[in-house]
Amino acid sequence: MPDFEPVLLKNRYVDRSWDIDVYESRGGYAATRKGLTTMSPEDVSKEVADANLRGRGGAGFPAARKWSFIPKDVSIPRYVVMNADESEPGTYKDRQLLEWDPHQCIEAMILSSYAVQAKLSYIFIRGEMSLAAERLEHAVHQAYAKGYLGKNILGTGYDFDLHIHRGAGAYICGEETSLLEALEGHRGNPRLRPPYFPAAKGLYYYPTVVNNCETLCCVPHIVERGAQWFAGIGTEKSKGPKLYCISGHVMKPDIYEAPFGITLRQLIYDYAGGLRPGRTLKAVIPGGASAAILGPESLDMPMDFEGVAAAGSMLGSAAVIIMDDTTCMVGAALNLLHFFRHESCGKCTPCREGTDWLFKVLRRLEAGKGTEDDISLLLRLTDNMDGKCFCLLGESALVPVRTSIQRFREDYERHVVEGKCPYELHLAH
Amino acid sequence: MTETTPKVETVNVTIDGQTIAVPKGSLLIEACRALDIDVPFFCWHPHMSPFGACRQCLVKVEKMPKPVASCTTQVADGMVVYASTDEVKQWREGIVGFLLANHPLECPTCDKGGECDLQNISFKHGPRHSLFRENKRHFIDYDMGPTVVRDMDRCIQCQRCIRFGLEWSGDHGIEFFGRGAATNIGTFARGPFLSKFSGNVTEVCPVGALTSEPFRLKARPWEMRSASVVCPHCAVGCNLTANTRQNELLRITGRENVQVNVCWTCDKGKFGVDFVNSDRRLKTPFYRRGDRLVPASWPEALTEVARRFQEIREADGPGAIGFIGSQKASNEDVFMFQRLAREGVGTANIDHRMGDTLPASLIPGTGLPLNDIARAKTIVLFAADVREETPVVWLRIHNAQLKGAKVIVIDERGSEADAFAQQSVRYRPGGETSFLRLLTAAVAQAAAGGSPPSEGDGAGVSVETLTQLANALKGGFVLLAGPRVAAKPDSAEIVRALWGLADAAPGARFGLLHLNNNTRGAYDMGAVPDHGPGWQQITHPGLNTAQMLQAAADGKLKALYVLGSDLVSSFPDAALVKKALETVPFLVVQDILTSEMSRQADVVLPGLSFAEREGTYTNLEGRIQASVKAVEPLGGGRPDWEICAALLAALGVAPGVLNVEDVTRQIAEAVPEYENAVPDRLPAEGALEVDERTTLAAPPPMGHAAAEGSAALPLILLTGPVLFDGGPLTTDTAAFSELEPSGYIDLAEPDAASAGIADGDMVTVSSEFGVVTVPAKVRGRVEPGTAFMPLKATGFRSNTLTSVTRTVQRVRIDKAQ
Amino acid sequence: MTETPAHPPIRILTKSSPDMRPLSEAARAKITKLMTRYPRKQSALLPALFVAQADHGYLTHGGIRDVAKMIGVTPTEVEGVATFYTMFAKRPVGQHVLQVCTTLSCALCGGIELLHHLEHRLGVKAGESTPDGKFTLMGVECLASCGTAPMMQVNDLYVENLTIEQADRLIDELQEKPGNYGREIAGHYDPNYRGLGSGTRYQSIGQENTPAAGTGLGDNHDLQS
Repeated sequence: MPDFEPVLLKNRYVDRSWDIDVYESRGGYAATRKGLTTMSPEDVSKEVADANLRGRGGAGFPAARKWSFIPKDVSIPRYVVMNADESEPGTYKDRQLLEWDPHQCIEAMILSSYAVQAKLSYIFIRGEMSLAAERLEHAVHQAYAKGYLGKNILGTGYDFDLHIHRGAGAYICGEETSLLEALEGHRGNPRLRPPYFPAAKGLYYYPTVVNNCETLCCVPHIVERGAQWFAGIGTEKSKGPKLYCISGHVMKPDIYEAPFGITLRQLIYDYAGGLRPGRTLKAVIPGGASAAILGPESLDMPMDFEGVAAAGSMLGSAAVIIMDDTTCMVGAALNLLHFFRHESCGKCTPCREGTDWLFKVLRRLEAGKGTEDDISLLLRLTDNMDGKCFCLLGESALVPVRTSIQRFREDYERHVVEGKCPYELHLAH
Repeated sequence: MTETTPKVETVNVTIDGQTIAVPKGSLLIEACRALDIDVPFFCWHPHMSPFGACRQCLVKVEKMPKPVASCTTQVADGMVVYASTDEVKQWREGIVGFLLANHPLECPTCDKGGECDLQNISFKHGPRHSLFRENKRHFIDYDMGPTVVRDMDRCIQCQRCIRFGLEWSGDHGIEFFGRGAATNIGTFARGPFLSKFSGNVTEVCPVGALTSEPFRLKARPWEMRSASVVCPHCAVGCNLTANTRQNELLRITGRENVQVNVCWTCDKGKFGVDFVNSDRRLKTPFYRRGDRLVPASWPEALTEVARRFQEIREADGPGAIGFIGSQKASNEDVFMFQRLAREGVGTANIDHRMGDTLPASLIPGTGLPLNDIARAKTIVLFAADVREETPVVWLRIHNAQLKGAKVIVIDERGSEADAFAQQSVRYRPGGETSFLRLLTAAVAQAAAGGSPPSEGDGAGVSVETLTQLANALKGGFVLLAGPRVAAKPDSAEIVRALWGLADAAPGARFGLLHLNNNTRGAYDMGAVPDHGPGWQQITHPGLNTAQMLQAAADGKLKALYVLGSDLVSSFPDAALVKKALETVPFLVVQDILTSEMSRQADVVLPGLSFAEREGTYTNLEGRIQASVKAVEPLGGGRPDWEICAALLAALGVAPGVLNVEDVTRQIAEAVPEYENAVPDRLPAEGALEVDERTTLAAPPPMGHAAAEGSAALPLILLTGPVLFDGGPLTTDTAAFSELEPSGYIDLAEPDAASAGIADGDMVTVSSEFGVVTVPAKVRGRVEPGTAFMPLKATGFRSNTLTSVTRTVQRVRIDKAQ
Repeated sequence: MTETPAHPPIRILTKSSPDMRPLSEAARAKITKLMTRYPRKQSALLPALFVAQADHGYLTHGGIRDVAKMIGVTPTEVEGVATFYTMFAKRPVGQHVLQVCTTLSCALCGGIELLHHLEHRLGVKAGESTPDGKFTLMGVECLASCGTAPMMQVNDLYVENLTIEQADRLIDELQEKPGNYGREIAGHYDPNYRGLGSGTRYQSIGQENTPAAGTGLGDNHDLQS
C-alpha cells in the first residue's frame, strides 16, 4: 500500500481510541485549544476557506462558502448539524470516523460551530449505527466533563452544547433538508427549494450549516496544521486527504485514506489488492449507487471531483463498487432499484411510481420473462423521471438503469433471448 | 364597514408568447391560469401553500436547465415560459402515465367519476394507452368514520387532505403512513377520522380516494343540478352549492367566496342538511279543535290567526300580543314579521333574541370583514369558542396564524383553540367587565410607555398575566367577542368595555361573532322592541323575549306568535318557557319542523327550509348574501314573508308585496345599509353593510333582576353552543353524534376527584331549577369550581338547570347511582 | 327523512385491535429528559419513539398515543412519522432480529446466499418470525458495512465478514440463550466491545417475546403486491 500518513483515520484500530485520555495522549483537542484561544471565529472560517475544503458528502460544495451564508447578526439562532446519516450504498467511511474517533467528530463540531457562532449543534447519526452512537454519547459525556463542551469552554467565554440525534432508518435523510425534517420530528420528506441552502432556512427555519461527517472532521486538522498544509495535498481543485470506500469484487475491500486524485487503477490494484485471481474488471460504480456505472476504460481517471465527472460519472461519496465478470448487470440494476424503491419517500410522482415501476420491470427481465420492448420501456421510464423529481433521490434512481443499459445492453438482451439469468451470482432475492 | 385592501406590486412574465403583469410573488401556475393557459395539476390548490409533489404542472422556463414545477416557482420579472410545447406535453404525458400505472381505473363504481381531476387530466393530457404490464398494488381499506370513505388504491398521494388539516383546520387528523410506493393515508390506530371539518377533504381530493360517506353512491355529478345557497347554520354565512336531483337535496359542497369561507365549510354545514327532507317536516297548516291539532287549509289557518288577534287586540289592547323570531329566517321574512307586529297588530312587543340582552344600539359597527381578521397580526378571541360556534372563522384564523398572526384566547373556560394560542388567559365567570377594565388600563399604560398595572385580581387574573397581555397587544389587534357575550346578563356593559379596550390601543378593531345565520339581519330588520328597521328608535319600546315570556307566564300576554325560534331548547330558562307556553291563551308557531312547541300551539303555520326558497341573509361581518331556491317545497309550506304578508292583509294592512323581490326592495328603502341588497345590484360575493358605530342613545339596561345562585351549590355552571348540538336542525344527521356526542358535562379534575367521578362516569347535575343526568368529561378544559355543559345537547337540556334570574348559575354534581 | 340505505357490499374492511397499554413511568421520565435536548420538543419525537419501542418491545399504539401527548402533537402525526422510518417495529418481533444486508456491495460478496441460507435454516421467509418467537429474519438495505461483506445486524450489533458456517454457529449460540435479556437501543456504553469482526454478545431489542407472523419492521403496512 502506498505511503500516506493517515490524517482522519490516524486513530483507527488504536486501542480504546474512543476514550478521551487516549485521544488526548495522541494530540487530541489541541486543535480546539488553538482554535478557541488563539483564533477568532472569522479566522477559523478563513483557514477553512483557504484550505479549499470541499464537501465529502457528494456534491463537493466548498464548506466555507456554506458557512459564509450564515448571517453575521449573532442574535439570530443558528445551528451546525453534522450529517452522519451515512446510507449511500457502498459508503462506510463515516462509520469508521464515528466508531473509532468520536472525539475527532466532537472537535469538528466545536470548531465549526465556533466559526459560525452556533451555541447548540447536533450530530445526526444514522440510527442503525448503535455502536457509533454509544461511543459518541460516551465521548460527549467525557468532553463535557473535561470542559470542552458546555459553558465557557477553555475559559474563552464561548458556550456550546452538543447533542447526538439518532435517525430511525431512512436513506432520504441523508438529503440535508430531509435530515432537518427528521431532526424536527417529522417524516423525512425533503423540503421545497428555494431557499437552496439550509443556511438561509434550516433547523426550525433558522440558519443552519449541514456538513458531512468526513468534511467536518477535516476542520480540526486544518485548524491545527494550517490551510497551506491541507491545500498541499490533493489535486488542483480537490484538496486534502480523502477516504475512499472500496467494496465488491476486490481482494482487500476497506476504507483507504489517500490524497485526492489517486487513479482508480491505483485504488484497485495498489490499495485494495486487485481483483480475485482469474477475474477481469467488468464495471465500476465510482461514487455510490447514484453514480453512473463506468467500465474498465476509466481505470486511469483521477479520483477527484473533476476527474470522475470528466469520465461521465461522479465522485459522490467516493464509494467505489467493483464488479468483475461474474456480475449480472441486470441483477446489479435490479438490486439498486430494490434499494431506491425501498427508500423513496413517496412524495413526488416520478420517484414514487418510477422506482416502483422500474423495479417491477427489472425483476421480470432478470427472471427471464422480459421482452426487447421492456428494455426500451425502461429507457422511456428513465426519461420520464429525468429532471422531473422533487429531489435528487429520484434523479439518482434512474442512473443505474440507464447507464447499465447503455453500457451493458448485451446483458439485458441475453436475459430476453435465453429466458433466464445467464449468471450464477444472485444479486436479488 | 368596508374591507381594507393592501396595494400590490406587479412583475411581467411571458408565457407562450403572451405577456402579462401579475402581482409580485405570484406563482407561475397562477400566471398561466390568468392567461387561460391550461396547466394540469393535482397537488396544487389555490388556497393552500405551494407543495410541488405531483409534478403534473411542469413547464419550461428559459435559462432553467430542468423542467420547472409551475406551482412552486414564483414569477420573476421578465421570465419567459413555455407551457404548451410538444416537449412540455410529453413531460405531462409521462407524469400522467406514472399516476395511472397503479390506479385501479374503477371509474364505473367510483363516486368521483364525472368530477375527477385524474379522469379529466388523463383524458386531455395522458398517454393514449398504458405501458404498465405489472400487477397493480392494492391496499386494504378500513372504516374511516361517519363522514369519509377511504379507498386507498385510488390515491395519488397529492397530500391535499393532509395539508388541509395542517394549513386550515389545524387538527391534523389524517397523515401519510408508510413511504414510497406504500405511502397511504391513515388515521391513528385505524380509527375514525373525527374532525369538525372532515368533509372538506372529500372536496380537495382530486380523485376518489376520500369520498363522502353520506353521499356514497347516491348520484352522478352530471345528473344533479346546482344551486348557490348560503349555509343555514351559524353566522359565518358560508357560501354553499346545493346539489339536487329530482327535487331531492343530495349533497352540499363548499362554494368559493374568498371573502367569506374561501371554499371551505364545517361538517355541520356540509352534512347537517338532513332536516330539509326530515320526516318531522310540517307540510300543512294545523289549528286546534278542542284539544287536538287538526290539519287546516291555508285560508282557514290564516283566518283563525287574524280573528283571534283582532279579538285579543280589542279586549286587551295590542300590547297583549307578542312576537318572537327569528335568528334563522331570512331578512325578507323578519322584515315582514316585524311589519306584521308593528303595522298589522300595532304592538312593539317583538324580539328575536333568546334571553340575551344586548341592546340593538350596540350592534352597528361590530361587523368585521373576515379578510381583515385574516390579515391581522394579533387576533384576540374573547369568550369566543370559534371552533364550536363559528367554525369557519377558526379556519381563517388558523390559516392566518401559519402566516404569522398571533392568537390570544381570553375566556372563562378552555376550548380546542387553546392548543393553538400563543397565550391563553382565564377570567373568573362574571368578572368580564372588571377584567376588561383592568386590561384596558394596562394596554393604555403600555401604549403610553407607562408602568405596569398594580392591581390585577379583579377577575382572577394576575398582574403578570395582565402585563404580558398588554405587551402582546401593543402592536394593534383584532378583538373578537363570541356569542356567549350577548347571552350574559350584563352584555351591554361587556360590549362597552370591549369597545373601550379596542379604543385604548391604536390600530385595534373590535367585532362581534354572532350565533346564527341571520342574527345580524334580525337586528338590522328591527326585530327588537326598541328599534325598527334601519335603527329607527322606538319611542315606547315593547317587551323583549324574556319579558314577553314572563308576561305570558303571568297571564298578562294573551297571544304569542313564534317564528322559527326554538324556545324550548334554546332559551336559557326552560321553566319559564314551559309556564309561558302553557299559560298563554293563543300560541301561533310558524316553523318547518314539528317540535314540543308546535304540539302546544293553537295554530301551526308551516314555513320553508332554506333550500326551498330564496332570500337574503346577513352574516357576522354584516355581509348581505343572497341564497337561491334549490328544490321545490317538500309539502304545503309557504315562505315566512308570504305568510306574514297574508296575515297583514287579513288584518287590513296592504302588504304591497307580490314576490320576495318586492320585500327586498322594501327593505332597501327602509334600511339605508341595504340599498345595494336588491337582486340586480347585489354582487356575487355579497355586499358588506356600510355602517359605523352609532351614537344612538343607549336604552336603559335590559338585564334582569339577577342574583348570585345559592352558595350551597358549589360549582358555577357555564353553558354555551357547540357545533354538533342536539338542536332541531341537527338531530336528523346521524353522523354528528358519532363525530362528537354533545351530551356531557365538562368537569375540572379536582372537582371530579372530590365527588369521586372519573372520566365517562354518569353524574347528576342539580340546580335549584332542575336535575339532569349526563356523562362526565374530565379533560382539563374547565377551571376548578366551574363546569361546562353544551346548550341544546343530545339527550338532555341544560336550560332546565338555568334561569334568566341568575348572573351565574350554581350547581352541584353527584355520581349517578 | 330519507333512510340511509345500507352499503352495498363493496368494501372489505378490516377491524383493528390496537395495543393501547400505557408507557411505563421510567419510559416517560426518559422521554421528558430527552425533550430538554432540543429547543422544540417535537424534535425529541424519534428518540422518544425509540424509548417507547424499548418499553413495550415494539411500537404499540399506546406508546404512540402517550408520546404524542407528551410531545404535544396528534397521535395520527406520530404514527405517520413512525411508519416512515424502518427502525420502528409496528408489530411484535422475535427475541433476536437478524437483518441481513442485501444491497449491492454485500450482494456481490454473497449477501443474498447468506439470506437464502438463513431462510432455509430457520424455515421462514425474509420478513417473517419463527413460530417460537425466537428469530425475526429480514433482508435489509445497505448498513454501511460494505467493506466487510457479507454481514448482518443481530439486534443492534453488526456481525461482519460472515461466512455461512459462522452464521450457522451464531444461530446455534442464539438458540441456546435464555430469553429476555433485552438490550435497549440507545442503551449503555460498553467500553470493551469492539465493533469490527464478529460480535460476541447478542441481545434482543426488547423484553416482549411474542411470536408473530411478519416483522412489522419497515413493512409495507397494508400494501399487498
